[in-house]
Amino acid sequence: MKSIGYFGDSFCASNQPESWCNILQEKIGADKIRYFGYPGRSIWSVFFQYNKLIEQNAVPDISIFCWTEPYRLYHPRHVLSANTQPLEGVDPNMYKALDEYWIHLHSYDKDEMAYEYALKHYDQNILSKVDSEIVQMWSFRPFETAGKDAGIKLNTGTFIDESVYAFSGGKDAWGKGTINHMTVEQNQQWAERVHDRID
Amino acid sequence: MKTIGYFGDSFCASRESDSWCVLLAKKLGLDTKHWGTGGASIWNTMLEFNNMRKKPDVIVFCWTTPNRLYHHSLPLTPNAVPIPGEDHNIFDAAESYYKYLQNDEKDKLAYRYALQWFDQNELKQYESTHKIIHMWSFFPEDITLQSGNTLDEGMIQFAWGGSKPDKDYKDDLHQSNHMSSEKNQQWADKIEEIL
Repeated sequence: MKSIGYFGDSFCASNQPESWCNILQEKIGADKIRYFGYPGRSIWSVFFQYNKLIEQNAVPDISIFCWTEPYRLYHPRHVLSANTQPLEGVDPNMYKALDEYWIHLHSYDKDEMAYEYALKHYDQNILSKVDSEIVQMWSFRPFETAGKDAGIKLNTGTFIDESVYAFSGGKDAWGKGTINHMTVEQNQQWAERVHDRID
Repeated sequence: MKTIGYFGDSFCASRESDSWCVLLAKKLGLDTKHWGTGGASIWNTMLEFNNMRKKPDVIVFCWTTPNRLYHHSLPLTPNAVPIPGEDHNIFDAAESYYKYLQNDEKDKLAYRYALQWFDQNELKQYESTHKIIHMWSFFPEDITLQSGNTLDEGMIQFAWGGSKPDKDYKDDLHQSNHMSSEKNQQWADKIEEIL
C-alpha cells in the first residue's frame, strides 16, 4: 500500500473520520496517514518539515500540500499569525513583540514577494526532484486574504489551482465548519474533487 | 550615456569622491542611476530593483546578511539606534522582534530560496542585454548564483584585511562604504577587471 502525507495548515489538520484527508486516503486506497497539517503554521514550517523528510529519505509515496497565506511568522513551536491568542505558559513578551510587529513592521509587499519567490523555488527546484506523487493546492489562494490575485501557478505534480478557504465559503462562513474549517458535506465534496484530479 | 546601478546596503551607498562606486562609474564612463541604502535588507534590494522601470546597463548587487528586517524607509538592523525625528515605536518594535521573534534558520532559508529564484528567473531576462555582477557585503554565502558574474568575496573581509579587522582597520562611520580610500580604489579596480 502507498503511504500518504498532508503538509500545510489547519485546512488539512483534522484526523476526524469526516475529514477530507481521511476520506481521500480511503478513496486512494493509501496506507494510514503519516502526516497532517498544523493549525496556524506558515509555509516556512512546511519547508522545514518536508526538507527533513527528504534528508531522511522518508517522504511518503503521495505528498499533498495545502499552501497557506504569506502573512505568518515562523516559530519552531508556536503559532505566530495575526491576532494569535497568547498561550498560558508561553513568554508573554513574545506575543507583545508579535502585536508590535503587526502594528509597526509588517509589510504586505515584502511578505508577498518572499512567499512567491520561495514557493516557486520550492516547486521548481525541490519538489520536482522528489520521489513522491505531488499534489498541490491553496489553503488560501495568493493573496486572497489581502483582496488580491497574484496568479501564481505551480508546475510540479498535480496542481489544483483552487482555494480550500474559498470553497469552504470564505470570510462569510469562517468558523461555521469545524473539520478543516469545512462542514462534513464540504469535506466529502473536497475529497471527491481532489480525487477526481489525481485519479 | 550608458548607466550603472548599485543595489544593496551601505557597502554600495557612498556617493563621496573616494567611494568605489563613484570610481568605478568614472572608470567605465557610466552615469549612476541607483545607489545602495544603509541598513537595507535583501528585500529592499529586490523590491527596488523590480520597481525600477528602466534597468541600468550595468547592474551591481551587494547582497547583505540574511537576518535583516525589512522596512520601506528605515534601517532596522539588529541593535539599530533610533533616528531622531522618526517614530521610536518602530525601533522599539524592531528591538522586540530581534529579541523574541527572529529566527536565524528561517531567515537563511528564506534568503537562499528568494535569492536563487531572483537570480535564476528575474535576472535571467537581463543577462543577454545587461552586465550583472554580484558580490557579498559581509561574508560569502554558500549560494551559487547563475546570472552574470559573482565576486565570491566578502566586502567587510576585504575592508578588514581578513576574517577579523586587522590592526590598521578603522571602524569609522565617515569612511566610504566601510572601507579606507585605498581599499575603495582597489575594490573598484577589482570590479572593473571582472566587468
